[in-house]
Amino acid sequence: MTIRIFGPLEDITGTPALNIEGIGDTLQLRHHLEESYPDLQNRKFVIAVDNRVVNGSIELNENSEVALLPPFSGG
Amino acid sequence: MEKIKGFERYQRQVILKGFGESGQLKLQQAKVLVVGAGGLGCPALQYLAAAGVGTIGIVDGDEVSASNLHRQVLYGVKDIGKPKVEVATAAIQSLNPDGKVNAHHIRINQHNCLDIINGYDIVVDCTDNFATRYMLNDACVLKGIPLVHGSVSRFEGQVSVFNVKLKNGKYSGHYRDLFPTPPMAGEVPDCSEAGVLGVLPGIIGTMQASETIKWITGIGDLLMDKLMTYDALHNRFMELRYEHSESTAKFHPVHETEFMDTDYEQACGTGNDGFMISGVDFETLKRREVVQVIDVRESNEVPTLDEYNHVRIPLGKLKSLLFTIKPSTMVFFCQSGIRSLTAARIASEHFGKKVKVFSLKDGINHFISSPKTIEF
Repeated sequence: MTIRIFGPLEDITGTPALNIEGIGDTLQLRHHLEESYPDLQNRKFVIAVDNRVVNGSIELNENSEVALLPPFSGG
Repeated sequence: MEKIKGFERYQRQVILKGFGESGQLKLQQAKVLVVGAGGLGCPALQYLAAAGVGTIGIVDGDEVSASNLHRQVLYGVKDIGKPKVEVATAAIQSLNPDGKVNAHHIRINQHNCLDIINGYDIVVDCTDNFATRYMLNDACVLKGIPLVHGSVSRFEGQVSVFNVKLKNGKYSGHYRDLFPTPPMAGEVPDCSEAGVLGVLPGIIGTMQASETIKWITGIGDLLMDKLMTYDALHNRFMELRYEHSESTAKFHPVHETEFMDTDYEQACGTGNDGFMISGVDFETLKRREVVQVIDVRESNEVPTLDEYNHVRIPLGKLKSLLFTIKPSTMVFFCQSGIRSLTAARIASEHFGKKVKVFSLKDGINHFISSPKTIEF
């Protein structure tokens, strides 16, 4: 699955896009990301899958298009 | 029928299909409040005034500074030091001399917010900090007023229209359906730390004006239950759907007195203080009520705490083990008080504001350095 990283989260991942396989759902994905990039634990972001913001957890497959989206404060 | 004032100025939009004279009249009768006259507020104010919005309110407590000028295009070098609302009022009055402008040269807060937004049909959020963004959202939800959200960071922006009353009497989603609780200080860098491309708030603020005009005139599809993101560097737009849930009500005040009592500054900017509890206050709290004490250090960290009944849940496992914690007063601690602050934030987000959640200042040191009662 492809994961697009938005805003200043890219400072943590070091790349605007990731490819990860073998993750079953968004809860596991969050754990996986927070393990791989521990600084993500201290950042607020939502996960969107196939252009839909996820509350709770949903299943992922190899074609899922995932986005990590932080809130922006600037104006 | 009321007449359109300055008809010639609006001729090019009145001839648009679906807009017509009735659309122009709706704009003339509309009352729009723009909160923040900065990077987003400048273009929003300009286009709303130019489009013929009859009453425009502007709220901003700041004065123009040189670092504003690359993106706040209503102001020039000669305006440095002047109140933004003063310069902005003069500029938009010349765009529509028949319109009325209400200028508020104050910082909006939970005490004056409800009075300020009262009487407006729609509010445009052009602010630059989370405390005001969450406060405006909650105020608009309380009062049933739609809120046009815009925000920027570096090369990216977000736009959405919150809290629109639907035909069935319900309301569309709002900020807390997207991000239920505010980030704490340092979790999200602001423009002064992260920077922003000058033209970006121009684009996003103009989109906010566009959504506002569409809501007033009733044309097109609104960014309702949808968040539009824009990436100026790679020319990418993306539309993300989100859903309104009644359960987000646990995160915001549900009546006016509760709203006035909510300290938004504390919940965001200096948000750490909201959770932090001193050793003395912790002991007082423990005497007053049943407190769950939770150690969020890794299982191999020393010294261990023997004096108190407590559970140990390493921070990394907290989210998956939240269900093991009772929804009642809890105090997290760690080695120095940093991880426990994160733990408090996670728990507070999960349990909502009805449950008291604390992080023990100075962590385990509190237990070690506090004098012990020695029994002979």
